[in-house]
Amino acid sequence: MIFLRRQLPLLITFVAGVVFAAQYYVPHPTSELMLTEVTKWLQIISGFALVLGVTSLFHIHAVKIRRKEPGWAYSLILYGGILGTIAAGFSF
Amino acid sequence: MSAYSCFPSLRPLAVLVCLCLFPLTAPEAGAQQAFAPPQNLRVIDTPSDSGEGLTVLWARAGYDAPEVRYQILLGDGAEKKMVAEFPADSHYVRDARWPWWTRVDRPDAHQFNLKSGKGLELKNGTPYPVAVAVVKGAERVEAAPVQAVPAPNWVNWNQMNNLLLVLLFGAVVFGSIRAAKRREIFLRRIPGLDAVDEAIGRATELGKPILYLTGAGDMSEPSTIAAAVILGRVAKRVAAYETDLLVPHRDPIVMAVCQEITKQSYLEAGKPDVFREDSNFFITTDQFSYTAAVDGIMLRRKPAANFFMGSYFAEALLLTETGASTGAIQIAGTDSDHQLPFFVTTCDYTLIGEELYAASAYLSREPIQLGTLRGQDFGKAFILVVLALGTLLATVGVLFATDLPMIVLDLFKDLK
Repeated sequence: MIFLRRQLPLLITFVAGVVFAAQYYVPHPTSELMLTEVTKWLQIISGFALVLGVTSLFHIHAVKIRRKEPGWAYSLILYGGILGTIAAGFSF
Repeated sequence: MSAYSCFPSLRPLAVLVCLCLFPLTAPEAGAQQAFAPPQNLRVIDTPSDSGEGLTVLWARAGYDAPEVRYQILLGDGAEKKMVAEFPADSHYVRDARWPWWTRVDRPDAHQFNLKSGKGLELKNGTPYPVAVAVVKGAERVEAAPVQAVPAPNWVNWNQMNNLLLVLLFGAVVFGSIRAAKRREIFLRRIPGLDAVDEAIGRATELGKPILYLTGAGDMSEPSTIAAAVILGRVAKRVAAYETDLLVPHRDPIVMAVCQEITKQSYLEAGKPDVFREDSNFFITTDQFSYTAAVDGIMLRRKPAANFFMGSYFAEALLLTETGASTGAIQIAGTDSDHQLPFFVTTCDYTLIGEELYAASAYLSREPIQLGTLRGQDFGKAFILVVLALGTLLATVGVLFATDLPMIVLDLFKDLK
């Protein structure tokens, strides 16, 4: 379990770091293709991360409002701000 | 017995010297050559490239002059077409800006690179016949075409100097970290950081708060990161003394990060109960509204110590002058060189540029940070030596019209 939670992410980070540092010295089209592919993956993952982040934000502040925790009014303002921005984004 | 057989190890050196001095002797040798097709024509796949490129090489001729023109011809028979034309006294190997370890001919030979692009398409794996013609007035002669196949390469040998320096620098940093783990590494005294304890002690004695600013930058700026790291150290000591800490922010992300850092410091100091969530608070992103608000805090709360870490702009003097008027101990640290004079004149201690980055290692004394700092110092010293040596060698090269200094200078160039 420790391997999956700590060592595996470190190993992936290390390997990815070495591969992309080496990519700078490899002019072969395969190397360029790999970089383009990974950049696309990065964009896809960023999209999912954004969805995850916004969902988490909504959830945390919904709990604050429901429990009437100190400063819950700010959470309400945040909700209003986010929903207003999304609505404005769809309208214009 | 020849000199070479007596001293076989001198042979590569002698060849290198001959190659470099060749431009000084070649023009006289070629001057007597009659108008003839380009000699020693060679066409090769361009080395260290991503493919779809060919390199054409041929010998310098006695008739090379601005009024004579070379033509590069691609294809054979009826499909032959001219892809480039240029004066005969141009396009030499030395102009191609390849480093000496990847040059494919002598510096004074002609070189032309064919690459897929506008109006030209070269496919990897397809053989292409290439010829070179020379035109002088109405006369035109052409060398027999030579075939070559473009192919992509797996290693860019032009950038091997870059890789070598990266590995060397990495080895120095790791070596320094190992050395730091084994023995104490000397770090020059930084009075501004030595005064941190004094400032916190004074605030505790007076029962007044400590004001800590992280500057105008966001979390992507190294100076803001350094400011956040130093805040961690300051907060740990503040927690131990149970003194009040005020950290007003201009950036909400920096505020969130600093809040976590402060919380962690209080935990490490064994005083989580003393930690206040609102010790880090957001004011505004507007430069002068923020400055006015912080000045107000200084005048109302009269902190005993003010820390100005990170990057600053026009607000620097407005903040530090107000702080000085309240009689607080002021410690600044910034890499904003344009604001340094103001900090130096209005603060008791100033961390100048690099000292801000060294502060974390200085305060923590952790071997990894100390070793990295020492490794970076070696790197900077190395760059300074290379700058001085490079200037000297480049000047010598121009004065004596020789390519010899390029043997060293190419090693430190950013080559593509």
